[in-house]
Amino acid sequence: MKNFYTNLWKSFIRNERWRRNLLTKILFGILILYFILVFLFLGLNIDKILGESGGNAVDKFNSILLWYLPIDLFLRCLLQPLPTIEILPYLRLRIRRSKMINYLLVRSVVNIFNFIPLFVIIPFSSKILLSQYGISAALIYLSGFSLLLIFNNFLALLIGFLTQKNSICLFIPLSILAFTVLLNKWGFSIGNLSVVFGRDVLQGKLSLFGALLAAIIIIIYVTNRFLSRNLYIDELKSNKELKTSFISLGINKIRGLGEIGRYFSLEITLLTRNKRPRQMLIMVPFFIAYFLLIISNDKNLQNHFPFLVIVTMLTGMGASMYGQFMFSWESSYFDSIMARKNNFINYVKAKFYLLSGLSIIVFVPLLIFFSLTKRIDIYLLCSIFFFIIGVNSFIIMFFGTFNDGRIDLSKGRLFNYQGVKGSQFILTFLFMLLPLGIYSLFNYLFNVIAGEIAIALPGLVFIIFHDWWIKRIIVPKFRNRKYKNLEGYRKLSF
Amino acid sequence: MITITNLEKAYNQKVVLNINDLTIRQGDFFGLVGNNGAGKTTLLRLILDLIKAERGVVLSDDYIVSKSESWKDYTASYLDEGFLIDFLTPEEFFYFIGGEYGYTKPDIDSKLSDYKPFFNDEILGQRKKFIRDFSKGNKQKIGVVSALITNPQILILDEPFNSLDPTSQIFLKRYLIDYNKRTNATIVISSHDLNHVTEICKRIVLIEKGLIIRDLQNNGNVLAELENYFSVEKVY
Repeated sequence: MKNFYTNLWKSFIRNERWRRNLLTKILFGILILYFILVFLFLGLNIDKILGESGGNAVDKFNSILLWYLPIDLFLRCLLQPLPTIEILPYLRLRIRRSKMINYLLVRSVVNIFNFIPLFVIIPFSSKILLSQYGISAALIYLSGFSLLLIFNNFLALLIGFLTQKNSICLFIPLSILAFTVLLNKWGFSIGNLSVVFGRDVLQGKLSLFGALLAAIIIIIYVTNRFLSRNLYIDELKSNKELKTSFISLGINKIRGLGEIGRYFSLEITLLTRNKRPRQMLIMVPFFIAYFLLIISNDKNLQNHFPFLVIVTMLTGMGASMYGQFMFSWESSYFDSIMARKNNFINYVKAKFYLLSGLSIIVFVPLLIFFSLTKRIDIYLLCSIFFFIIGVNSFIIMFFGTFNDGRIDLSKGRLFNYQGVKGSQFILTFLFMLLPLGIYSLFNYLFNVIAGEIAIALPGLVFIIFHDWWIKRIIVPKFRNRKYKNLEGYRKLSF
Repeated sequence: MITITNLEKAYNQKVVLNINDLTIRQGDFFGLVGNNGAGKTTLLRLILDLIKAERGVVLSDDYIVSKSESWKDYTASYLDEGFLIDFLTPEEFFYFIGGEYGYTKPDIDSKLSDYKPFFNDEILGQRKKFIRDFSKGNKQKIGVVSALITNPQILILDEPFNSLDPTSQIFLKRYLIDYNKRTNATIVISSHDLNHVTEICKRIVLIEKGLIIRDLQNNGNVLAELENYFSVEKVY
């Protein structure tokens, strides 16, 4: 058993991510430090933040509790990695199944979602609760909160395992969250409910603590039962895919459309049949729905700049998430692409059409929404769209040729950094805001129409001449880096 | 015809392959033998322009492989599982590759019928079974056939007999010998199984630590000579 944990430690310190280049390391370091500082700041100033908003500070804090829990659960289910892959090598050894399951359960507690809230909750307990209610109440509250975190932790773990068997289970946390939102809309104030709930935690109500403990034990028991029946190599690696017959039908149609059609359909099968790209794309409709929900509440703002930022980000998101790994997606078989007869220019062109397609899929619902609500000028929306398809596709693909990271398609989960080059990742996102910058400049210097023309025109030019820039810039750029990229794609890393 | 001159490949200043002069003639059935790490796969990758040589050139007919791409029109290869697009079904994969060489679906279907005994009813017609779900042996079969169906004039296979069952090994050996005779195609295979190589290859080149040690015509007693080399010189 001890070996599990020493191996866990080794896998952490020997992780490939430490071998990345310095810039990437620094960027990730800054990102992590930033989050810790934000939460620490929040925690240390919690008395002031709560005090300023008036009312009882403790109740104020408690009122977000029931909002926090379902959101936390949802984020955990999306982002937390399942540790099952780690135990694959142990399955053939003389180690009892129950030990491995125990390891998986204990391992799941070592999770950033369990530590980040402590940066807030510990200062809260020690600064506010201690002075107002005394040490025992502070400790009870702290342990109650920890129990809630642990409850979420194991529930998310169970949902994670279930999701691995059947992707539909991802809707469990989503519907819990949706239910909370709806409940609030229907007049049950979650905030008030939350205050009562928080007081119960603070008073250490035995029935509440008992129920929480019982729930945790039941969840652990169910997880245990589930794992002891499903701890097999084929179950863990789970190749059970969503039925794609509908998509296959479409693919067969596209495949008939000549060479580019063939490459394009290969890209679509890649997207739909593999875990990682599929999970990435599942997020896109979620973001759109979330955004539309937010702005539908706010009726007076028009052409509001933050809206424009979000609209631009949304339109370019699918394309830039997919495009920055342009060839990396195919790293597992890219050798054969290079060794075989093919028309590489058409091959890259198919990628351009795919990027455009991803933007169109986002653009159409936005266009319908905004032409109904008139919240953003439609001409501006279209100009942004042209710029993103034309110029941003070019930028994304240009940076994409520099990416020599290998991607394992079957490794699912979001926030899988395999193949991600930090600097490039940030650059691609920065460039997404380029059209807004240009628009604002021309809008400021001349007028709105000049601003719209200033982004629509280059966009259209790049769309019309995509043939030229793919042939003259992207393909030669890739040929230059061919051996370096191929070498990178061959490298197995975890 | 493949002509190699002054070819050198190094990793971190360590030379792993150094071939001064090697010509593989049209119609040659060429076997590459050597221990692990001798440089067999490196040589095949250089011939296919998948890695960059420190110096030297590989000529395929009159084309420099790193400069032109025309050689891809008549060359087919299967080196490892990385050549498979593993989220496709075998049929989709064969059609995709066939498409690159201008074959229609019916063309490919009729070609695939040649390999019926090789596939042993385990590979075709399995809807919804992707290549990644097949066993190692069946993946190997899919890969080798994906190279053969394009009717190449140059065929390059790395360890083609690995993971194959005895029946498939015999089928593949006979098929390759026949293909070489019928079409006068150049076939280059690598293997560390001396029996297979001496059984089918007309010419056998032994490399060790990146250097050509022997270049032999297969005239009957090559197996003895090779076994002699590998056992006496290396072990004792």
